[in-house]
Amino acid sequence: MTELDQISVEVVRSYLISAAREMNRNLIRTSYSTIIYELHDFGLGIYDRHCRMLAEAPGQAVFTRGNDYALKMMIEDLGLENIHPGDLILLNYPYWSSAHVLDVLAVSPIFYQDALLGFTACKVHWLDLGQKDAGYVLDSTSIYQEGLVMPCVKIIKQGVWNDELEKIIRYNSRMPDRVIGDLRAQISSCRTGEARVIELAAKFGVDMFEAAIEEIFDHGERLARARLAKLPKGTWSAEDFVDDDGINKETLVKLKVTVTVTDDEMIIDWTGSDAAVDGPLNLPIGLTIGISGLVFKGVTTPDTPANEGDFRPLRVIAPPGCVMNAQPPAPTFALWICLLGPEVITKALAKGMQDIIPACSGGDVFSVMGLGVHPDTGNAWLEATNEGVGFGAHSGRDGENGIMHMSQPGSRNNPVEILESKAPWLIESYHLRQDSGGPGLNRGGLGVARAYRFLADSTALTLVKKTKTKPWGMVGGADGANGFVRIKMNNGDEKITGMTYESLKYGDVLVNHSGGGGGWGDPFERSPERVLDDVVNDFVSAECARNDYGVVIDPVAMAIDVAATDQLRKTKKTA
Amino acid sequence: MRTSVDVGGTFTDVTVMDDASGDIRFEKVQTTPEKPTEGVISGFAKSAVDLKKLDYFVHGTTLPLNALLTRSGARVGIVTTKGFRDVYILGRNDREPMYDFKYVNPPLLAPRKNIFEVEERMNYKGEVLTPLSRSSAIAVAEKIRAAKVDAVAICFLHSYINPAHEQEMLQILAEECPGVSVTISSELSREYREYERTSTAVVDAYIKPISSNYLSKLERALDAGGFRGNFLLTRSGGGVMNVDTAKEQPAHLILSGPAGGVIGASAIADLIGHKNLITFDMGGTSLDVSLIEDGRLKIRSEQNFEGMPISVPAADIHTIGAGGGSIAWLDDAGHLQVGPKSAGASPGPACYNNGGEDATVTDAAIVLGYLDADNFLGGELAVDGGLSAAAVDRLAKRLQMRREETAAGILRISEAKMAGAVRVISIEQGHHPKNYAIFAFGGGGSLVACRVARELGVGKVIVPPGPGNFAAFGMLMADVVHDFSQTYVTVLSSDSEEVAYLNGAIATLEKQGRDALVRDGFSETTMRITRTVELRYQGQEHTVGVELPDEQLSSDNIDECTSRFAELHRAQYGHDMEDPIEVVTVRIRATGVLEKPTLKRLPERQNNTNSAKKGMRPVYQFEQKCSVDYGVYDRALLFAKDNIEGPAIIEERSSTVVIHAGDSLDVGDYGELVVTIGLS
Repeated sequence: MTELDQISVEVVRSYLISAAREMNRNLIRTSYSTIIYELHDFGLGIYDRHCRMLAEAPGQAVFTRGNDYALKMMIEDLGLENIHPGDLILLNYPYWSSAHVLDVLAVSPIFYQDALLGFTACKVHWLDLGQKDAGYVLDSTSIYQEGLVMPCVKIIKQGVWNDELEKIIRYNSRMPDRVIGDLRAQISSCRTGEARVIELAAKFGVDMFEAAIEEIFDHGERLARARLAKLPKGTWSAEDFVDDDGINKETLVKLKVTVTVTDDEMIIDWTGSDAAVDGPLNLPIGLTIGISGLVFKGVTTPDTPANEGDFRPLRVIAPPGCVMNAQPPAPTFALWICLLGPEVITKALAKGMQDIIPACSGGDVFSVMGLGVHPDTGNAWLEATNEGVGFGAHSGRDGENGIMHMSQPGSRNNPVEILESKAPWLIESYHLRQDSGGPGLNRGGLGVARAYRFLADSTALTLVKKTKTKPWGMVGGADGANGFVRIKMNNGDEKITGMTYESLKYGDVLVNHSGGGGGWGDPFERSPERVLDDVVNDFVSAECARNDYGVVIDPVAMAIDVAATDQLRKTKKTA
Repeated sequence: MRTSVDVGGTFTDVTVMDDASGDIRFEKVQTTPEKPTEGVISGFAKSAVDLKKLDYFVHGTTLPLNALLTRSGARVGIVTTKGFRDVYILGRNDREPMYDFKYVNPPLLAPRKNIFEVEERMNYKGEVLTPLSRSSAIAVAEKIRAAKVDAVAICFLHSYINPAHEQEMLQILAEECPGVSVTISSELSREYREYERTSTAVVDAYIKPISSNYLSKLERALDAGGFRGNFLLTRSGGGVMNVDTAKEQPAHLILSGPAGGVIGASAIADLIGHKNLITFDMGGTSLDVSLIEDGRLKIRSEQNFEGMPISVPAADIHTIGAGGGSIAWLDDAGHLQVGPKSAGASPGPACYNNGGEDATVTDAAIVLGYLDADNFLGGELAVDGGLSAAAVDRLAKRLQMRREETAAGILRISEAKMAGAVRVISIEQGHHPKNYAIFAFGGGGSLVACRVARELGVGKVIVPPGPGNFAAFGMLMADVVHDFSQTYVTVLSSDSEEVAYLNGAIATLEKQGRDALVRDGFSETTMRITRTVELRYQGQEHTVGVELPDEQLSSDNIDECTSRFAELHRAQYGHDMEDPIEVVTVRIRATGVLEKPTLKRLPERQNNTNSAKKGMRPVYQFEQKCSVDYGVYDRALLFAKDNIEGPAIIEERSSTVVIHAGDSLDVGDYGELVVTIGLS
């Protein structure tokens, strides 16, 4: 065996990334739910025997880091001596698995020559585990309403399928066939990764393999430290609010974070956030670490594939019992804080890094879910889609229009043609929201609106928790437009809401509006030509161009009225 | 007589084949990007082709692809269903970089101001909910005229199941906007997912004017030269199409260039007795790999070009930025990285002495002794090996490594990426590379193929004759192909009504296929139809393609399909299910079989012929960290059944084959080199 050289390290790294991608592909291609194959609501990766993440594949960025923590808790619970070759372990106890009960983590231990090398792990959103409400739970008050908990139990024991556990799952689920189908997809994914890591160990030998992965981590750490060194140093705090906890509908939930950047670490401290709330918004600590890591990576090494080493200079503090560190039996079902939390961190960082951090996006992920019995087939249906949001503008350019929120970059929207062929929905429109991007020297990206007409009595859910606080602009840029949900009943009634669980009737229309991103810099400094271009493309109305940008546009000639614009902008300056 | 012309970035390759004798000639002329037609015509002149005697002219063009790459296509307008203006802009909302908070989508091919809505609506069953409003269509036509676009893409919701409104709109635009070329999505794709279909139509519209202008000009030039034969173009999805189809549907031309080599590999696979191949085409900036299984190329129903889905069948060619010009660099943590940035043809590798300072894969290959700086491109290009060494030394100093170690590192990292690319099209799709031979061509494929093969456990590497021109050669072996498909979601069951319904759908597509071939001049005896259904377990989204038997479907062979599907599902994913199986899409490939040229055999060595060995040169060994002498051979002097034991280097004008200790090379009947890899 030759000694370790950095070239071998790159070879091992590229092999592991390819293996993680293959896991991803097998999961997507064999899964049974839209939530997996279109929304990509999963997190999977390859971990070493110390539960450190070696490679991941695009899914939910917050999940892969949470899996590290879950694996550690799994070993603590089972004991290493009780983990055997051929086992396949399931874990969805939220405080360990770092997600809610429906996100089930499947783990395959990787053994080579009788020694444990590591794990492949794949966390996937299951459609139903008997939680109190079909689809999603928005108002649970303890974990005992949130579905069947599997605290590190083996669906396969040393290669033998556990029929009893399968029966328990089936009889606790409203959609047993699809749940078992997804479990099989998960296993296919885990086993594929396992086989690839074994091949790798055989090729390089265990010692070389282990030395190579240590170097992969160390390289990640060095890279992260090199980038950290270039960031401004200081301490900044910010707070922001989540709409409500699902129980106390009029009370905002406060998230507070203090970020300190020193020469050799970043400390993200959630002290000062609200205490645990009554409703299902509490976040398991693994996820708090996950979202903190997401932002840390975004500002240090967004350009490289992630591994554990990338996160070594990061320290996360969240006092037990606060909303960012849920303790049993606190309800955790609606994990929306993990979607909004990252932009509380960027809000703090923005105070010291105006040229690096973008303004707030219009997000979360603005999901709509529908379920019921399809009138054409008589079968149960459940479909869902996330919606893109406007991204925040930054010093370099405008925010992008209508793309998936930073917390779920791999997620895709569900096409109109697919939704209409599976759900009793007629989608009436799907478009960008004019004027929703926060005005600025650089404009925030536009949010999206999609209208669903229900062609049968059904249950409708919206999973939206950012309708009451603004997508903040920065450096003089204005806020983006809030997202909201409008429900127009067939009988003429209408209401505006956020997160909601409704019984809708034939002919009712639900219109989901996602938020626009915040602006960056003074909109009156934006060149009139850029404003005109926005008006020509209907991103900005002529009215908004005049009021928010001080640019007067002749609507017939579609040209800038230079004199009027000069006048207007001068008035604003002296005012 | 038949001729093919493959226009590449730097060179245009011409292959001339005499049907009677089987003689093949290769020529290379400089590509003239600003005057593409003249480049082709001068290729004919240089290779002394008499256009009057030419039966077939097969052309692979990268012109449409380049128009896409450089965003120099047409000004495009888009017509959508009312309420859905932003389907094209929104796309699927996703992105690959997970941690980039400032992500920006790739630039769009049409600005939002040129996207227009028309009042009309179908449902998913193809029933009309709102008839196409003529007044709204006329109003849009006016806007299109005012916008001064060159081309329009029409994509309405659910047009995959009922294209009537798209056709109606096409008619209206033809009347109202003469001179504007129009693409309708349902002509290109009959599969659901509105964004993917819109994007396909937009790409087609974007490259249509430039493609059809070019092809018409070329037709006129050929006509003036007395050409009366068949003018055919290589298609992304394999095979060739006639020039009229190409002008109508240029979306099929996107991979016209790289497809040539893959088509050639599939055609030659049978002849050389290796039907399972991994094609490995390495040029200056990129590596293209694909899979040939049982002599047939792997087709995927959709490609994704820089984030733009193109829903027409395409050879499953995976491209990575790893070529001879790929640049070596150090990342912020001091690790050596290679590519994807390339020094290209200009300035090119450091050894070109053309201002390139960065060490490239080619420079590393020179330092290691893989390439001979004194005999580069058969001596046609003067290069300076000293500059390669100096460029590598600059990196070596920063890495505190020796020159050779650094050069070896550059090659090893590229090889790891190349092996990764092969894994994507093989292991990641459920095919183990050990069951395939690597088929190496392009300028650099044969340089590294043996080491990549060893890395992947592949037992054989095959280098065809004229590897540098192989794409052009391959085009001569192609048949005329038309693809048709229809999304058709139904449960696969032996219920006779269901079977009859499915047979009806297949028959409709088959008729379209046969009609297209009749228009191309084929008769029943030269037509071949293959039928595939895309199946999945009910509840899944993604499908596995299962080829249907030639006879009509019946309750009996439905069961065969079911078990075949389960078998494929198991092979790819490790398990199968007992759930009901659903048909999603029916596909027809209609092939018009062209007469193939007979390839000439290479004679066997006689006692009096000269040895092909021309010397020795030291080659650096990655593992032992020292140099070993390799015998150097001239490929032109090899004969059929010759055998060379590694380590050795076989040189010819356009490429170099490097085999290592333990490898053994045999020369095949048609001059192909078959290397048996010494796997430990």
